[in-house]
Amino acid sequence: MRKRTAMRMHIAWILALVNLFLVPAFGMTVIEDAEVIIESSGVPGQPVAIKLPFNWDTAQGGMDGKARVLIRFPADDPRAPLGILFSRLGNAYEARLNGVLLGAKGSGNDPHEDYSKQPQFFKVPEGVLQEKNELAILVHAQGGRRAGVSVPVIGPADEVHRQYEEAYRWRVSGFLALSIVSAVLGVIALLLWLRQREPLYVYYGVGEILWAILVSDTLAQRTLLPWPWWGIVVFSAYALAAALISKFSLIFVDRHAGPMKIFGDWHAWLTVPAVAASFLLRMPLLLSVWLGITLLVCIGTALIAVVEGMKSRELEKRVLAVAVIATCIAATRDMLYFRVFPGFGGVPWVRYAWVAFGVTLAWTIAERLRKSAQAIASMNQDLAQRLAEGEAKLAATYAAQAETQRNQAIVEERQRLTRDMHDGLGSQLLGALQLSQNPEVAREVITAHLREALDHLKLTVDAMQDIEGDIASLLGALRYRLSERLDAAGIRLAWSVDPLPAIGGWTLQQSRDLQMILFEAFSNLLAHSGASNASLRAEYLGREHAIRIRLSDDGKGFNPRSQEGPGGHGLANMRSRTARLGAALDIESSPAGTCVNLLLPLPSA
Amino acid sequence: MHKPIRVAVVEDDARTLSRLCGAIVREPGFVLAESFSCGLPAIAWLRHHPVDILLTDLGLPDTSGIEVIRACVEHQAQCDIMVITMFGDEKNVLTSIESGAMGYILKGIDEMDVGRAMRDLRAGGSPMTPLIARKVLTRARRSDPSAAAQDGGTQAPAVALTNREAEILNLIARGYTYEEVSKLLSVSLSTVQTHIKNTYGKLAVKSRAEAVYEANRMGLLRSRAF
Repeated sequence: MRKRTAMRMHIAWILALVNLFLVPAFGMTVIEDAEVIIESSGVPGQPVAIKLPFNWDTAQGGMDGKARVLIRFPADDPRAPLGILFSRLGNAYEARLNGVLLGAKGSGNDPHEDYSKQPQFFKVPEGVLQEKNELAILVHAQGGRRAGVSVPVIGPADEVHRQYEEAYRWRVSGFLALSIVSAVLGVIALLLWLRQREPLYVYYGVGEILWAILVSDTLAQRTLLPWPWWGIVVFSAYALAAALISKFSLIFVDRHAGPMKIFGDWHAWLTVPAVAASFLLRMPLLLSVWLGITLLVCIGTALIAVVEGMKSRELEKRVLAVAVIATCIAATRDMLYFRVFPGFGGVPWVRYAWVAFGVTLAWTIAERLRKSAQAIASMNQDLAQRLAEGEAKLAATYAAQAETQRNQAIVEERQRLTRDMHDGLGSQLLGALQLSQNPEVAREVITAHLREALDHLKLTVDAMQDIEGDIASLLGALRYRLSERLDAAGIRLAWSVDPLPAIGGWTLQQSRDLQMILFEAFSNLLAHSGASNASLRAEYLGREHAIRIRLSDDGKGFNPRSQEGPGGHGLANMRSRTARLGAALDIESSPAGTCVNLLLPLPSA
Repeated sequence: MHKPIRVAVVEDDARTLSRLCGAIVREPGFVLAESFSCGLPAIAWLRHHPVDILLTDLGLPDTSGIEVIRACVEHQAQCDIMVITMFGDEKNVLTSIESGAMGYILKGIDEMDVGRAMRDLRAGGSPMTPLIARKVLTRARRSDPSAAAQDGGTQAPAVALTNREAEILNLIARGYTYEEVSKLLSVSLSTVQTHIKNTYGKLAVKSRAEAVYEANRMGLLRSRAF
């Protein structure tokens, strides 16, 4: 008995590494020899010696039925408390030791029931144990539901119960936790999908929820649907979850295309029909083949994911590669354990390995959040930079424009000066030159002419200063330039200039125009009026929002409308400059004197 | 009898120079100490020869008149400096005042007016044109912190004026003569002149670097002014 066990154990070790249910602890006995009487279609067969575990599906294919398994074992000390552990027993069962009922679950003819999924522990009641014992187990089997009897572990009640608790933790509590995790992750992923509509999330979400159904099946001793329909649900969930997670992985590594995608699509579409056919037609082999194909899909995906993960510098792809590798190792092991070497009563590893996908997704979401935060930050930076560039460009454009305007202003100013020189100083110098060539003209006349030319030049220089719309200082400067000539002409000038509001946007041309209007008026006063008293009054008129400048004298007057005589040309000049200023010029002249009125409106604020 | 007033003249235009020298020689109470047509010899000479009045042009062949003014201020604190200028335009005159000049005379001036201008200056009467007065007021307003902010504070140094000084400058800027100002403000003419002179003092830029910078900015150091 030991020798054969050793070899089987060896395989089990390789496959399971740690398979608690087959590892005999100190003082434990693992019984493999048994006798089975199979009742198929209500007809009891002959007792047959077998090696445990007894796997109904292996023995009887897809048929329903029941089997009576007899396990005989000795007891060294019949009084020591004894415990018996089956990691798998069912679907329904009734266990008797030496004819005494140890436990029973299920009626045996309800297809909703399956008690085989959880480990079963029996404590042998006192006085039942004898030196030679017979453990009789009646199992009711539903075809394809992995009914049967696992290898019993028999030993001291405390130690066996500890193993039972361990097994329970892995197969019940652990799966409960796993199914909750899967369900939560699935719901989160689906919520994400609702908000973002990324296929990645929907594949993952549905996959996780299917996985949660599969894992929670272990917890349900009464299933929602009767067998075999529940079997179709569970195995379809398994294969579909694998298919969807494969898609998730392919999308994840940007390889959701090509033959692998097509293969995966076909597999996904055909999963439910294939699984259903396997159950309804009672062909367990078809299920095994289909799960093998599922594994191929997974391995194909895994290879792609691993290759991409290794190539990629993105950490989450590497995490996915690790998850895929872990899942594939676990799935391969499970495939070998449950399907190829039909193991019985072990823990499917893949259910634990699966959690790695959850980690991957969580990691991915975290990475995406980080990246999007980073992207936003860099976008902000980029935006700020572009804004700065835009501003710089704008400033450059503005500067260029200002430069153009400045150049234009310079050109205009140059033109203005040229015109001034031509009309004013130029003609005055020319006049002086012509006078000097005439020997009859007195020196004093030429001198006066040249003085006037010099005054004109000084006024031109004054007009070049930006007075910032300060009309009062313009008047002041004019008086300063003319006072000498007024004194020389014996004209007493009464001066009254109020503080005047500055005119915004006042240009040099305007300065020049106003200056020349007044200069012309003073020239007339000096040259033709014969006045001895004059007065200049400048004031701000609030009602008209204008500045009024009034120059009056007590001279002999002239006819302002005459084109001949005093100021003919000068008057026309004054009027054109007045028009350019948008001002109003009014000249009253009578033999009692002349009064020049200039009304300069201020721009409305 | 009073000691004659010693005058030095720096002017590169020969005719203007001879006219000015002639006016000084003919003016009683004034003697012509020396005349120069270049700036550097004048600067060297000024180190060792005290004068009462310096007349200098700004545009000189070898250096700027500003340098001559600076040298004179440095070595002869009691000397009154007048700038010879064609137009009495604000830029040239104001820069000279900032360097330490106390007045100016126009190139086209009558010979007899040269003596009057010099006497006025010795009597404490510095000339002030409306446009220069306006400019000085603008600078004074700039010393007001609220105005300085708007201005950017990048221009010429601000001037702190007393209310009376500002009042006087305001009237001068509007074209009133010193006499009219004294009547309008009911003060004596000499009071007006004292205020003007004080304003001149406030305008003088204390550091030589600033003056040179100002002169450079206006192109006075290289080009000849008129």
